[in-house]
Amino acid sequence: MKNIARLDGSKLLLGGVAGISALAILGLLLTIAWMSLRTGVPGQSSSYTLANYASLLSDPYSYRVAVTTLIFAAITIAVSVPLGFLFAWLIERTDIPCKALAMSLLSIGILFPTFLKAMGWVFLLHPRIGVINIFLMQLFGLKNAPLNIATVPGIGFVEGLTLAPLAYVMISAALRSMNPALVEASSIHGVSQWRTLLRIEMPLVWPALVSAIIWMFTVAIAAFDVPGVIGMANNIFTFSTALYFMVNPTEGLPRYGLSGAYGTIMVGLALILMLPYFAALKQSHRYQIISGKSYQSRPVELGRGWMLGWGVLAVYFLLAFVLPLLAIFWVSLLPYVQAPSRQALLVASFERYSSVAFDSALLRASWNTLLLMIIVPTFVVAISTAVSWIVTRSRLRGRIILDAIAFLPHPVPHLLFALAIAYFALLISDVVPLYGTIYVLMAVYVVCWISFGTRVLNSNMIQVHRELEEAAQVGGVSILRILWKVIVPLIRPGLVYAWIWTSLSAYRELTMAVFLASPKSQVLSTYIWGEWHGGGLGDAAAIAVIMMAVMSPLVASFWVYARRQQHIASSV
Amino acid sequence: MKIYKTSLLALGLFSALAGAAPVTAAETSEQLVAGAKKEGDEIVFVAGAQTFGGRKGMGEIEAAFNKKFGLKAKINFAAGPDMNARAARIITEVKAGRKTSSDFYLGSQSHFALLHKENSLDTVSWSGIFPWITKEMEIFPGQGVLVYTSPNGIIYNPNLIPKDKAPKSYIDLVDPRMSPAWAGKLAIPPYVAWLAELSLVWGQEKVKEFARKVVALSAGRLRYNEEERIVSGEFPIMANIGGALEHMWDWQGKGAPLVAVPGLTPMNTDYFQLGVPKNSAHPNLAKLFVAFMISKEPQAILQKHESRSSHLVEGTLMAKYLRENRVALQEPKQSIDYYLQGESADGLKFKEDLANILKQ
Repeated sequence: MKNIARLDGSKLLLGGVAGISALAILGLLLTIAWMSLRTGVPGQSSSYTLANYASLLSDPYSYRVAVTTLIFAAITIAVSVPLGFLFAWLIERTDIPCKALAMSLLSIGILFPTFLKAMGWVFLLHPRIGVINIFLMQLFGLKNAPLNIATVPGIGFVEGLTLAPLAYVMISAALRSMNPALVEASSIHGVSQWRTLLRIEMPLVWPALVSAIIWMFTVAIAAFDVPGVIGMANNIFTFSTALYFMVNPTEGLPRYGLSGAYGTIMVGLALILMLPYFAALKQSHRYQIISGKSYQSRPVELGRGWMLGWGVLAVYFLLAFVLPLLAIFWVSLLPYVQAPSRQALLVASFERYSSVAFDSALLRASWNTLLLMIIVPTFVVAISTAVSWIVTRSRLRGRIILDAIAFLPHPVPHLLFALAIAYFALLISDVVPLYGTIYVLMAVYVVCWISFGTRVLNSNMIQVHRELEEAAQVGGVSILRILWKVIVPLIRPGLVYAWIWTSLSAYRELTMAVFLASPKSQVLSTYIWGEWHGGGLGDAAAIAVIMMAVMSPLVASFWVYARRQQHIASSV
Repeated sequence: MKIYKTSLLALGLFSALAGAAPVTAAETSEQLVAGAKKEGDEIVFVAGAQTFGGRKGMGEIEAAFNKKFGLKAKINFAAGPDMNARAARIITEVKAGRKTSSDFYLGSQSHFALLHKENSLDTVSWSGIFPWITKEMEIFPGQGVLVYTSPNGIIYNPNLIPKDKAPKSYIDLVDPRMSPAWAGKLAIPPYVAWLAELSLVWGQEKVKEFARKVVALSAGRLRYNEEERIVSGEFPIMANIGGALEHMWDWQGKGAPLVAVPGLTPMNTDYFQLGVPKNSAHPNLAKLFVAFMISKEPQAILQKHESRSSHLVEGTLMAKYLRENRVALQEPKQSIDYYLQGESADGLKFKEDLANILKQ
């Protein structure tokens, strides 16, 4: 009797944690819809109205923003997915040398905050101050800059470059688990490698490609960093930056209702996108190797072609990381932005570093970032464990619905959650004074990254056989104790991987933070954004360099550990 | 008896007015200092990243402020969005009944008019409490006091646009004989206010026509503190910026190429003021700080770090420049009246038209 009571208590706790999280996700999505039916600011009385939708649909600006966002997303996909596929193919399917180095460089690339790279690209490829343009103009005697980053294709290109490593991660897993027998058969029948790639390998990984495309699409339509840093000053507005100005207007009061209407339409689109995403995921299992059959495909021999492969990789690293970071470093040394020249070199100094390094606001932002990097992943992992346990190991009715709700933040642009929680926190500020605190940031990060945590832990928990759990249950051990003593040790690599990935996401996040940060809840990304947006280009660059220098060793060691754990996880 | 009744009535009326008016007439600077000491040691200020000389200037101001009033206050300065967005946030917070995210507010006439209309500012008898503040410095009486005077104008990079080809006024910007030099490269501010204020001189139709032309020539939108993007050459010219003269003095002092040109005569001017929101978390500290910023010492710090100052504080760079060059400024009352009356159907329509033109 005592055991039953304890068992129920454990289940209740797990169910409670999962239930509250699901309610939070649904609640925030409903807040967006509710906002869209109201006018004025939180705290003002308002009748329910469809005026926001009428205003949105009758304004040509909305359509312009929609078209710009779609073009931006399409270019992002066009750059990131083919690059990701190429890198995955080179690393997973060929005999290219130094694969570990290539993998590590791509992985570390994910860790550098996108907005820093965007800042670097302004200094590289702007038609008037871009170093590459100036070089090309001098080299070929051109009157006008041949390239322009301050265009919709330009910002799509930068976003695509920064997302290519992510596409690589998504596609490489599919290539790794692809059935190699078909490729071998193709090779035996004398089909060329190129034809095999196009006719056999690509069709085999198409579910992963579709998943990557949908993922990149949702990231692009919500991305604030590149459109914010490059687009805004150049009169290019995407969905996220348009939404930013609705809440932070240059004229009059915030238009929460209109932003809610935008958001509701976006949520609708995101839900529609979930259908092909799920279909693609469902299909992906059909193309995997039958487990237990140790069968390794012979890698494609590149011959001297490995140099071309590494050449592509080297150009990518140069464009995606080295040059933007060098550009930021250069700007941080100057009293004002100038192209590299002897004259500029004479005035270069480290003066900015001494003035910004010990700034109390910067130290506070660093502390807040560190707090988020520890607390957010801990909550994400704890909640995801509860949700995944219910989804994969319980026989609870409605567990599929719980899984679907936990997955919802994945396709829905995260900034909508930020918008909803800002509105909600303002509404309840009299009762619960959360508005403007670091807790609001924590809450929205946790809500948004539960989808990632549950995806990782679902697949890990499924692999643990029920026998162990059932044996413990027969012995009268409570569910919580079984979870802690039996399941958690077995899925530890997955937990560590989810924790570290979420921690690193908290470190580089700008899109949600920019909507929520207040003076007391500034984080490093919003601090740099504030400097950049406030005209302090050199200071922003110097702080960015400090951020990279201080955080990179920590981030890199995290990542090395995560990769090792991931390796262990895949072999569990 | 009649005298008694009249006195009673007068007393009653006075009491009613005193009760209704939020003016803290009974406050003295000593009371504010005593109150400030009870409010803790932090004061929060959200503004543009380079405001008051950025980190360096703010550090010096903080030290001078504490020395003046015998306090140990720390200014928690955070870079935030535009002035209008910050005003909008304060209004939202006041309406939601919570403490404001910034203890005091920095903005110009249009922003103070917005805050005033939305009843979001505390009313303080600035000139009554602090002897160095005159009535004239209370640009928005009882609410906003002038911290620096910023005549608006055009700025350009002389390395990219030679002086002889540069515009001499706003009208030159859209002159087809001159404009090819900056067509497709011109930066304009994203604000409606600068165009709306031009209508005081030009009338609405001429402003709309000008706005259409200038937007067609533009390549991007820069905020009032992004002049470094003109210095860097990212944009060679900006159609209008608050504090054009100060930016020129500041950047030329660093050896950077930047020239300012008045767009109009008398120069349209942003009178940047400080005020205290109704739900400030540290109201006494905030009031002391606002008043302090109008005194000579912080004005000298502002001048040193960003060449800004109030023309109403004796001996400042701006006061000297305006006097010596006999430069006429647009009166603040003109634009304040415009903003306070601007919510008529006609005014709203005009602003909406301008906002739509700027969206192009």
